[in-house]
Amino acid sequence: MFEKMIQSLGTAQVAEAHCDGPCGIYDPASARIAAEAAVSMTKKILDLTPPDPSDAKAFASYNNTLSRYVAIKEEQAHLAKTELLVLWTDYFKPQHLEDYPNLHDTFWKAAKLCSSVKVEVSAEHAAELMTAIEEIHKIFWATKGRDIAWYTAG
Amino acid sequence: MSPCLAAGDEVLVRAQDHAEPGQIVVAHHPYKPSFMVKRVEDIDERGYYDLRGDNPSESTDSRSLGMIPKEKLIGVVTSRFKAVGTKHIC
Repeated sequence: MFEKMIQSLGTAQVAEAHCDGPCGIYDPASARIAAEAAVSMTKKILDLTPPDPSDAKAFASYNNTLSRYVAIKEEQAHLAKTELLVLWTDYFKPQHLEDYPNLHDTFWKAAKLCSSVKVEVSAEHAAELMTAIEEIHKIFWATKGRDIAWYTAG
Repeated sequence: MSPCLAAGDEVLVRAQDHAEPGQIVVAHHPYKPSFMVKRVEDIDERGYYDLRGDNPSESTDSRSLGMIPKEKLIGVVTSRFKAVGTKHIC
């Protein structure tokens, strides 16, 4: 009866308790996938063998392939950085910082590594980026109280 | 606002532009055309409200939104109607 009485007053408005994006879905996997793509492109670029410059057709093909690898590496490294920054600034809260005092440093270094992988062709920095994202994966799922194993697609 | 409020709960609000620390209020979101339900943590000397979620690790509140002016307050929650199948501790 009480419910009907309230309903007769009109439709109630919705009040949100969580005021971020409405979905609230976060997962470091999106950063990991983008980073893996950038890491893969780094390896492919390093594995390319330049052709004889006098072979115009082979040279054109090489340049085309190299350009595509570079473009994808740039794009995916930047995407990885964006995904990390969203996770860092939107998901993580001051409460988490108390439990993980190195949180800011971990994200800052991971974001810096995204920039390095984007700008350079460094297998070393690419490997360091994956290690950094693995660390973030562990912290993220620990804050959720869930034991999610780290894995890579590549 | 877990564990005091759960998603789907309905609340009754007494319309007023002031509240006391500890009370749960409904207010306009400062940056979006939506409403938010939070608990009053504190009120500063200017009359601005420090609104916090009860679940600090999940809530987006005055820690990131800043202090909320009283003009944003809609009112104080006076009653709660629990959504079916939800658990509450408070």
